[in-house]
Amino acid sequence: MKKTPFELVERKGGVSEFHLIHNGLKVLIAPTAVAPVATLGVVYRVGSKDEVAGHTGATHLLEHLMFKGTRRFNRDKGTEIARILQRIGANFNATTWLDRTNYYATVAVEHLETPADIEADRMRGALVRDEDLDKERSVVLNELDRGENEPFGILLKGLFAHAFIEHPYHHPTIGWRGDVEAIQGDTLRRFYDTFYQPDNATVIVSGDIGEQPALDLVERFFGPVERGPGRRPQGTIREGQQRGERRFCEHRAGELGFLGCVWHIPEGLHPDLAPLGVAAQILSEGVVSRLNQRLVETNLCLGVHASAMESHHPGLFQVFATLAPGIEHADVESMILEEVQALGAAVPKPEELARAKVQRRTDLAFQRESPARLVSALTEGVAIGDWRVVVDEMAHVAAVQAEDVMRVCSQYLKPLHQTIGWFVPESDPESGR
Amino acid sequence: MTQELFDSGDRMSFAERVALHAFEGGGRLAVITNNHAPTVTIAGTLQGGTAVVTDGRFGVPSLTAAMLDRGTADFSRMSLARELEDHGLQLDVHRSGSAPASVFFSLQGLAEELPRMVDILASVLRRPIFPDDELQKVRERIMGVLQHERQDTSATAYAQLTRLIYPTGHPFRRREIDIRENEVNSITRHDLEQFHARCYGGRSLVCAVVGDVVDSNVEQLFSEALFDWGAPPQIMPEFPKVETGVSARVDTEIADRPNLDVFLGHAGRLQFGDGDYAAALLANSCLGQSTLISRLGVAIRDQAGLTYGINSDFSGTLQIPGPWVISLSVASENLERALVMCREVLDDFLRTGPDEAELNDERLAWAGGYQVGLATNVGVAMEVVKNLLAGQDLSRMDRFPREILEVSRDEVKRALKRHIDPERLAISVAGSIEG
Repeated sequence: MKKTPFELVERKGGVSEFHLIHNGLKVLIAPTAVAPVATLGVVYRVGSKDEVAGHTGATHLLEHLMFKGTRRFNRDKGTEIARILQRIGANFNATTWLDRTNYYATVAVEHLETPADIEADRMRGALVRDEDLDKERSVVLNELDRGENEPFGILLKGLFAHAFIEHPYHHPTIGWRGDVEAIQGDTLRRFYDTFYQPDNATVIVSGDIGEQPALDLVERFFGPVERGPGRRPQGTIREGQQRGERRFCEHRAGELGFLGCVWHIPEGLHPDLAPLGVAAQILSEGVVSRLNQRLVETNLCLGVHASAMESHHPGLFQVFATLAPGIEHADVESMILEEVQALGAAVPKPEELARAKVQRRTDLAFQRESPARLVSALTEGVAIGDWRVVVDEMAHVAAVQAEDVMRVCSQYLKPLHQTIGWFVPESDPESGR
Repeated sequence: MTQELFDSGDRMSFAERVALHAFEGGGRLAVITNNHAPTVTIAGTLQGGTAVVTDGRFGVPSLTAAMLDRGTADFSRMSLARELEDHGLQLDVHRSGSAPASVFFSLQGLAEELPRMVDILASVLRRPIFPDDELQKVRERIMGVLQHERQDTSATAYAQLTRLIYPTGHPFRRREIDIRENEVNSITRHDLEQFHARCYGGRSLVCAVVGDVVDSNVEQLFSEALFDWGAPPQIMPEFPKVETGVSARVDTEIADRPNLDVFLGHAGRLQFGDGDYAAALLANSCLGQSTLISRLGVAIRDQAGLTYGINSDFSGTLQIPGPWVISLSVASENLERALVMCREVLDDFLRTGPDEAELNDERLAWAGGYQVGLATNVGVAMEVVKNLLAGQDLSRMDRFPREILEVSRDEVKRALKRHIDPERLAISVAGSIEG
């Protein structure tokens, strides 16, 4: 009898976790036969939080270079990654965020070997060439410029930079411009050798494929991948407690004002994230939500959105508003703060809690309808530290009581812990470029 | 059962799996059962877009669509919002810039909510009352959105391009913001009521329901709600003639916008269902479908590093042909070089057409991508609606992947010559061009 190369870790909620014993690769299998397609994703537990001063943007730039070629898949051989994936009609891409970098492809299930082959090859076989870096650097600088066109992006960058002083969530995922302009190939190759390792990655397969065929596929392609030379740094940087309000103003050319308020909250696996998520829904999900009623239905704002960030390390509760023409930032800010403080002063109404729960239940049902969405959710679970948060989410939300919402809002959304940013549109500002 | 739905071979085809129903008022309903998730998606369209106006007031259809969920004979704005949100339902009604004859709608939720969803949909589509106070709120909101658009490099550049290409009165021409602002302030409740009475009706209704449903139940629910919904006959107005041979450029300076958005394009003539539709898609794909591997992307992003994204596209092929457009983002110092390179790539491609290898890649990409696009209920529903709207038999959904694999290189070259003309290219740029 053939000895299995996998160790079963857990089955839960239709998802099975295995470890490939030989190289430490983690594997999640989530069959769903909604259509004859499947999604294969690889998530590396490396994001912009792993970058040091002077090398910001390295994770994202490396993600770009991962499409430039591996030993087996490259333009010189007529086998560039994008072309091979395109040829099978794949819907594919890659993204970089604070805690992770991920690559994914959704394909007709009979083509699933192709993304598995490519992802296994670039796990340790990416070329990361200097000549590719030279060209891709200007591509990324254009991407950075695109972000500078967007008031919301500017505001978000400022809020993180002010709310986090010590922790690397301080800098944007795309990196500071000067670092992107200067970073060298040697730095990226060291970064690659350090973090692109099978025991720092999770392969996720979901779709119209059974557990055993999916494991066979993973073993065939990822089994031969050997660990590389890098050793990952241990330890994390802890953000000190914020002991007073911080605020900033960004004055740029524009027509509309934007406003953002953030507060420090615990890491994504903390049990208080579920009531914080419900609080965000009560504040801004749908027409009947509190901030929509106060700001949007009254035409003081064009839009408002609240969210509880789920991240590997302690994150931020965020509220953003797009101001209607002629509306003062101070007025909108005071109304947002009133509504946030009210959530911490009294329990929400039963119908508000019930509404938040049914909305979440529906969202999760649609998540199961699509292999791509399920892989995306599991990817974020892996990034924050445990994929089980995805399958446990409904139970966690269902267990939230009105008192929990009030407690977490009064505990975390305090004036001393808040950071506020204004994007102020001006007709003739000094260009800050 | 549903797994078989998407498979070929000896399993049932798409056309066989779809249950089609026709209503007395003229509406059509397609039902597809997919019981692998407890959800349902309703998607549909009717002819209530800007292209059906006869007096040049293109804001009326947009405002009509925007007001549908702001009060009906059955629900106030708030009671409708509660009915949706208390049951986890998501309603969307919008006008499409690339299909200006139509208004599109969708409603998604858990399958157990289907009866409620059909009631809501019927109320919103058939019985809106356009309350004055809500109309004023929507007016103010649109004014804010238009204000924002003044600083949006992509929207500005695209709007300018359409004004270079299309004459006044054409539904693909995006009018100046000042004109749109004045019009929004002039539109009354009576205008919306009249437009709704004239255009909204079962006659042009096309609807698809996909999810964990039973066909007979769906048919009964829709019959009760929409079976008798008709409308007066409606004729699509004639549009002003598009001048050919126009080649021009306009630059729009917007402060503090380091990324420039650039559009190059001309009026198109391709329509969904045309004999050379697949060939034209393939021609465009080889040139600019993918930022990473199409000719424009390889030259201008991959090799020269000038842009984060460059694509070409037939922007609108449903009922009324829209423009063919190349779009890219670029820093001001790289603008002129990128434009020269675009033209060189385009000229070279038109001279030679695609080679057999790249064409075959695109054939396979379309055939495989079509299947991937049908992986969700909403993807299936939208494709069914698109085919019915274009008067296509639903067997096309089974045939299309095979047909596209059979398109020859000569057919693609002919389509290329017919649909893409570099001598007519208009160019529009918006952003901090002076750096």
